[in-house]
Order: sequence, then C-alpha cells, then structure tokens
Amino acid sequence: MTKFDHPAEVPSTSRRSRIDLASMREHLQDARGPRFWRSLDELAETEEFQELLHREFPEMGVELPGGVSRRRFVQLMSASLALGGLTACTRQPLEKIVPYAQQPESLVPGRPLYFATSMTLGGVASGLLAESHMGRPTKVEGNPEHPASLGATDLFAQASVLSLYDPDRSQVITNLNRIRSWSAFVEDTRRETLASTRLRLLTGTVTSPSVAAIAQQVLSEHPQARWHQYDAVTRENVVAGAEMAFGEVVATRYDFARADVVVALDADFLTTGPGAVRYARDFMSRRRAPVDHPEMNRLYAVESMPTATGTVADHRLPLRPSQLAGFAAALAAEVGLPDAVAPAGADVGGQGEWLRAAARDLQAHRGSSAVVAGDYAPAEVHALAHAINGHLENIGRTVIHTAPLEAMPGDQTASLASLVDDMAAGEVDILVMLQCNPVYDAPVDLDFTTVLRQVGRRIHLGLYRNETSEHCHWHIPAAHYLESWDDARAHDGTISLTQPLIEPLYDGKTVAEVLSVFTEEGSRSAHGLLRSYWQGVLGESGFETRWRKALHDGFIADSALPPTGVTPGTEAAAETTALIAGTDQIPDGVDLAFRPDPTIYDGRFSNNGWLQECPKPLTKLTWDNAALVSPVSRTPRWSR
Amino acid sequence: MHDQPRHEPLEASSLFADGRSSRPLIEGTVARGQLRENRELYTGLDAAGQFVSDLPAPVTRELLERGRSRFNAFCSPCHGRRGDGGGMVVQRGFKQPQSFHQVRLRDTPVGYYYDVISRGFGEMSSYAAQLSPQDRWAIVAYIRALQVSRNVPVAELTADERRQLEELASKVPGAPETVEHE
Amino acid sequence: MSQIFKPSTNTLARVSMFGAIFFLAILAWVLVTLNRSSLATRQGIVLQQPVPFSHDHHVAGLGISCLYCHTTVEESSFAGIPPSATCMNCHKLIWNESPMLEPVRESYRTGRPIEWTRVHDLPDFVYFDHSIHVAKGIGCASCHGRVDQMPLMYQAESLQMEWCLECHRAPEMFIRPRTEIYNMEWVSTDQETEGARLIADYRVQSKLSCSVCHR
Repeated sequence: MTKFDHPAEVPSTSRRSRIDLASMREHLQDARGPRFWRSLDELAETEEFQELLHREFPEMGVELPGGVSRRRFVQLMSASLALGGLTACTRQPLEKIVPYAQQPESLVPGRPLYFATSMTLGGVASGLLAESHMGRPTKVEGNPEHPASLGATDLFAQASVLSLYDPDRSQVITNLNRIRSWSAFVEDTRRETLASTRLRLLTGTVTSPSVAAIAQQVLSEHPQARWHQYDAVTRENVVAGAEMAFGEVVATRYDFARADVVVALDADFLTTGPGAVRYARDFMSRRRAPVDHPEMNRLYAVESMPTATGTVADHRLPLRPSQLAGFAAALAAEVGLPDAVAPAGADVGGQGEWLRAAARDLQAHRGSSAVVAGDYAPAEVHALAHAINGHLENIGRTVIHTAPLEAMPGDQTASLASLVDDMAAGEVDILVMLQCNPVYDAPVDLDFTTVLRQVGRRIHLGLYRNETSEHCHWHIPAAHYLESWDDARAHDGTISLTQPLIEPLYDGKTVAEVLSVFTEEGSRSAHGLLRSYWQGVLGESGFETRWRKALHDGFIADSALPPTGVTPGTEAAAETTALIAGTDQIPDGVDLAFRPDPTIYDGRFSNNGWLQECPKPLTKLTWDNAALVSPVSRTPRWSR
Repeated sequence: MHDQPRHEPLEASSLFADGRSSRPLIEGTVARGQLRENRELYTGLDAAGQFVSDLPAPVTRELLERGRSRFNAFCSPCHGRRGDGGGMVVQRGFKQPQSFHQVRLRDTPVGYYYDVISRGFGEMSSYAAQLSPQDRWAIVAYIRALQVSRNVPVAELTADERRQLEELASKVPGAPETVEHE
Repeated sequence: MSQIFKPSTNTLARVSMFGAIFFLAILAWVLVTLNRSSLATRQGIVLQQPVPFSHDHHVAGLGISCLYCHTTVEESSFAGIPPSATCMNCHKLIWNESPMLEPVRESYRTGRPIEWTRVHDLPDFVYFDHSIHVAKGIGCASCHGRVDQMPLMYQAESLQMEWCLECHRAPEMFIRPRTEIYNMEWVSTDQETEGARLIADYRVQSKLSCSVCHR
C-alpha cells in the first residue's frame, strides 16, 4: 500500500506516527487466542488509539488548511444547499416539443424498443439486448437467447452506453489538424493508394468474418500489403499453448455445468476473458446443488494475484507467476501423465499437500473435471493443461476444442515487432491503424512512436483523438458499436451481429467501412458490406427471412464452432515437464505481472466515469491504479 | 428542477442537429417483437403473393368492437361512419373515396383492405404509423360487418328485426333505402 | 419601565407586533396565491405556436376523434404528438395552399420538425401515464378541459399536485364509462352512484402514495 507523505508542519503527524497499523501489528504479534483479544482491549484503551479513532481518515490525514473545521465546512455547505432549494421557487421554463415528420411504424412514443446487438472486447463478442427510448439507446443488458450471455452482461457492456454519449469522443475527420470530409478522405486515399503500395493494416484482434473478408480482399488486391493485429491485452499465450499441445491452433472453451472439479491455473475465468459471463452462470449453476446434482462442484484456484475467481474457490493457493509452470508440471506428474517429470523443489511452502489433494480429486473425476489455464499464463502451462485434460478424458466433455475464433490467430507481439521492423526499414508507404492505440500500448522496447514518424502516410480510426491520432496525418472518428453494423464471434464461435440503435452521432465509421476505401469497389456502407457478405455465405434463397431472424435474435442460429477431434500429444507434454524441471523453481528477485485493469481494461475506458467509479474487485480502488505488492514483500527480506 | 437532464418523448434537444431528441430508427434493423414472421398477418398476402381472403385472426365480438372504435376514429373522417364515403373531411373538399357497399369492394378479399390501410391508395396516405397491424385487421373485420349490414336479404332477418325495419321505413321517409334493392 | 418608555410606546408596540403578524400573514397569502395563479401554472394562458392549430375546428367542427392524432394515448405514458405526415393526410388536398400551413408542408417536405411549445408540461419529477388513466375511465376532458371549444390550445387546469389529488382522493366523482373517454360533451346524470359502480367494474385502485408519481 502506498504511504502518503505529509508536510512536516502539520502538528498531528508526529503524534500519529506513534500508532499505526505497523505498531498495532507489533503489539499483537505474539498474542494468540484469548490473549489476542485482551491485547486488543488494552490497545483500545490507550490514548493514542482513542485519538486514532476520532480522526476520520487516519491514513490520509490532515484537517482542511486555513483553520476551517470540517464541521464549519459542512455547516456552510448545507446552508448553501438549502438556499439552492430556492431554485424550486422559479417558474417552470417553457419546453419545446418536436414531433417526427414521418414517425417510424414500430415506434410507440413513451415505450421502449429492444434491439439484440453485440459488443466486442478483445475481438470476442458478447450478446446484448439494448433498450432504446425514442431511438436513443439508454440501457444495455444481456441477450437471454445468446449463448455467451443468457441474459447477463459484464461491466464493460453495462457502461458502454455512457461511452456512446461521451462528449470527449472524436467528432470530426481531420487531416493534419484541419477538419475534412469523408469524401475528401476517400478521394485523397484512393489517389495515393496503388496496387503496388506497401500498405500495412494494424487492427486489434479480429474475429469478425466480414471484416476479415474485406481485409483479405485488400490484401489480395495489394500484393505488398500486410495485416497485423495487436491488442495490449493479448491472448497469444493461449494460441501458443494450443499450438504446443496440438500442433495446430485450436480454440478452447469449457462447459462448467458438467465439471465437478475445476483446477484454475492463474485463471480468473469467472470475471475476465471471453465467455466469462457464460462461465460464471454455468459454474454457479453447480454451486446451488440442485436435485439432480446432489454434489456441488469444487474449485481449486492457483493464483498470483487476488481475483474474484480465487474468492469463490474452495481451495486457494497463492503462487508467484514464475512458479506456475513448475506447479503445472508437478500437477501433470501427479495425475499420472505418462513420463511427466515433477520439478524438484516445486513443493514450496507446503503446497505439495495442496497439489496432491487437487490431483487426487481430478483423478477421481475423470471426464467430469477441468484444468483451466489463465489467458496470461505461459504457453507451457496451457500446453500442460491441455495434456492433463486429455489424460483425464475431459476433452469433448468439459473441455471443448474448436477451430480458432480469430481470423488471424498468432503471436501478436511478434507481428507488431515485424511491423516496426518494416517501418524502421522504410518499407511502409501507408499505415492504417484501426480501432487501436499502439503509440500508447505497444511495448516500450519497440519504440513504436519513433519509427511511426518514418511512415509516409498514417491513418487512424478511433473513438477518441488519442496518442496515436496525434501522430497521424488522417484521423477518422470511429462509430461506437451502438451505431455500427458489424459482426463477430462469441467465445463459442457463435456469429453475433451488431445492429445500430442510432445513427452515428459524429459520423463515425466502422473498421469495415475504412477498409472498403482500399478495395477496388471503393467506399461502401457498413450495412451493405455486412449484408452482402452474409448473403454470399448464407445463400440467396430465403436470405431475407434468415437475415431478419438473425438480426432479431442477435446471432446466427447454430453458428457455434463445432468441436474438432484433436488430442494433445503426451510426449510433447512430457518433454515440456522435463524442460520445466530443468529450470530453477525458486528464482530470485521480484516477479512482475501485468494484468488488464478490472474496470479500465487496457486504458480504452479511461474516459468512462461509470467504470472509473466502479470499485475494483477486492482492492475497492476507484479512479486509480495501483501496483499491488504483498505485505510480506513490502518488508525488506533482511528485516523479516 | 422542473427540467431534468433527461428527454421526455419528443422533447427538443440541442445534442442533435435537427433539434429532436427523438431519433429515427435505422433502416434494416429488427427490434424485438418486430420480426413479423407471419406474412399473412403483417402483409395481407399469402405465400403466392395474393391477397388473403380470410382474416388471420378469429372474428370475435371484441375484434368487431375494436374495429368499430378504430374505424370511427381513423376512417370515418373520410369514409363516413357508414362507410359510404361521405365523411366530414370529404364534405370540406377531400376527394371522395369509394363506397364500401359497392359490389366490387364487397367481393374484394380482406387482404386488399389491409394492404390499403398499410400502404395507402390514391390520395389516401398510409396509416401504418397510426394503426398497429392488429388494429388494421380489426378495422377490416368491421368494414366487412358494415358491408353485411347493408346486404342481408330480408328473408334472413328474424321476425323482430323485420318489424323494426318496417317501423323505421315508415317513420323516416328519406331513410336509407331498404335492403331489397341491393 | 415608565422611566424609559413613554406610555404611548405601549400602543406602538402593540401595533407593530400586530402589524408584523399581519404583514407575515399577508406575505404568506400573497405567495400562496401567486403560486396558484396562472402566472405560475400558466392555467388558461394561450402560448405562441408555429401553426395556429384549432382543436375547436378539428374536434367540434369536423368530429375527428382525439385518437386520430394522439394515437398512443391508450398504450403509452405519452399520448403522442402527430408527425407532420398525419396533418398531410388531409391537408395535402384541403387548404393545401394556405400560408398558415406552410410550416407543416415544409416539415413534411424537408423532414425538419415543427417546434411546438408544450402546453401541458408536468415537471420532470412527475411520472404521469396516460394509458392507465384512459384504461380506468378518465376522459380526456377531465384533465384537458373542453378542448373542442378551444380555438387555440391552453391549459385548462392548474396541473398542480393538489389538483391531481382532488381526483385521486375521490375518483368516483370523475370516472366515466370507457366508451365515453373521447367524448368531449359527456356529462353524467348521476355521477355518484354511476361512479361508484364504475370504480368497482374497472377495479380502480386510486393510488395516493408518493412513489406512484414521484419515482
């Protein structure tokens, strides 16, 4: 925890230092049982503690400067508030009422309409039902029919409606800080873009089939073009782990409704990552012990940071991130994965007993257990989790593997690095950055900002004028998802459609619309692009009916990715354990783990007051960000 | 205090260029409850694209009552309460609509009426924004009832009804001509 | 006391004390009256509108039902203000060159709105719902007055809370049969017995708790 420094002249500081948490802890250190409570009483009677009690904010400190007491301040404030009530004595101002020229047929003024739509985060869609009053979206809830939602949402979706109306959103297309029109952008871009142009596209993770299709069209029409994807909150470890285990990229999803025993390896699957909303529903359905499931499920959570998943776990084991791979290897050996080697010295701090219990439980629930590796766990841990699941016959039951959701799965950091190399070598003519902010979130080592200046033509599409748009020739305001036609895959691959509830407030454009400028046909509308893509996929006959049904439902029925019959290779897993066993299990130094913020994510929601105001799980921090350090680590090792 | 920062329906707003807080719905979107899968109910056309000849809803007393109240509110200004096309607005100069009681319109399938209400016809505007599909069908049912009311052979009337009719005819010399002529 | 105060002081004190009370009472009375006057409520005041629309002509003269324009009164909290297209249903042929109707035609042509000034404007902290009142037998005229006799629209009642409560406390004095909702001229011959019967028939639960209107 951060300690605040106070100016020395504040009189109470010196007295306060005589009693704080540390001294209290010291006081209670050797106390156990009844003596512990007696010590507390003794402590409570001391003068210092009495003073501490009467100070309102013992940690923070000081009364208002200038001799105004808090009480006086409250008196003045309440008096002004009471006087503020006098504004009620004014005459009601006249109000204008402006009816439609042509009223939409389905709209009843005063009654809401609900539209199924979907929002993406990290490229993966969650199904939503958005409420619209007089054509203005006002509230977002989960889509009860959508497999990734079942009527529930996460906080990002709940708060998204505030971002829509954010007055700080970028509102105009600019070229070198001059306001320009969309047609000027299209004309200028098409004049400058030749088939031989070395075009580079940079997007976040894309699961949208229609966006992927149009990006592929751009690539095929420009042989020198490349497409890079980068998200600061990347799931590349998940992809790499699947490649290690299966030799190909597969997506993994879980059926927690069928899992009796779950072991989470630094996985906060109940609150973060694709499918978390559905997973929480499924997992909790087994906590209520219904009649046909007399047994509750059991969750073993290994985690390097306190998470919501850890708090519901039956057994929680805190572990340093660097020890996670060793733990996974030891677990693999313990459940009897052939030839798996448990690393020596993995049994730190009595975790061996914990591990053996979890392994016994897993073995007792073959086919009805699941080992879940977290999105940010190393690839080896993912590979071992896959191997353990395969060994325990969970695959196809609680763990389902499908074709990847992403249009272009892979190592995003390496992809960004190769883009930076190309930019540094002067091999990029046009760089189009769509709905991403690499100047802000690219790894510092890449020095993205410096090499960016060497690109002749830089185009940025974003909801806000941000760090990246500052370095671009063209900036185009992006359409919020509540203003867009779009599609994306949910965690299980279900094609989820995004339909707009309102015309773009600031004439924002979607990724597909900007990409279409680079195609032969030229600029097209997002609606036209989406519709024609799906018309091509679903076929002409009966398309209108199917399309309307899909828009109404919010997703295309039965479009979840089918399970693929892959099995993890056990030899590769055994090699991995051997490799892990060869490394030092108790490394020196400090482990540093970066996690997306529970409310601000990678920073993109920093202008959303609801999310800033929402207390972060466990720490209850708001409007702030903190490096969390264990109280033990805070004390220098020599003084422990 | 009287004006809170929320928009009541149709309230003015400075956020949007046209001054309306109420926005149009986006073309091509489908709201919940607006799927309109039942083609006959929502278009008045059958699978072959012909006007349906049967009402897609059961004809009940409530439906006819509903139809009467909607007909009197929305149709009678031009078509007249009796459906013969002599409403007040026509008397003030609007083009006179056809009477519902001519043989041609009596034989027209119900789907046609639904279609005209929904999409307009000639000088008549579409009433889709003013009437829900269910109300449009109720009106169609009521128009059918109006047509029947002037087209019942005297022989099919009960003795009591016939007596009433004769009484009426004797009292009012210029009353609607008796049913026998039609 | 008499060394300091002259005998006449007593009278002066009495008068000023009485005067103060009297003055305060007058002040209170003036404030209350002001608050109830049409200065505060706009009761009976005709507001400037872009088109001098006459309810008198359309309702009494032509017999057009309230529902024709205020289409959502039965299904929504808001009765609805007709879009320009509704006016044009008739006015594309009638009075179609009248300069008075130019704003309507212009709105229909261009899609730009007609900016009416709201006549019946409850404060935003009141959540009024038309549909439930209509469904339970409260006629348009009960609150909006004889709209059919208003060449230009004005607010017939004060729309103050004491006025709302007048009916909420004794709905049987105002309720009417559902068939007569839109009838401007309807008067009951025997409101008390008829009202009590309708209250029972329509299962009216006239709510008086604050949160019914103030959420």
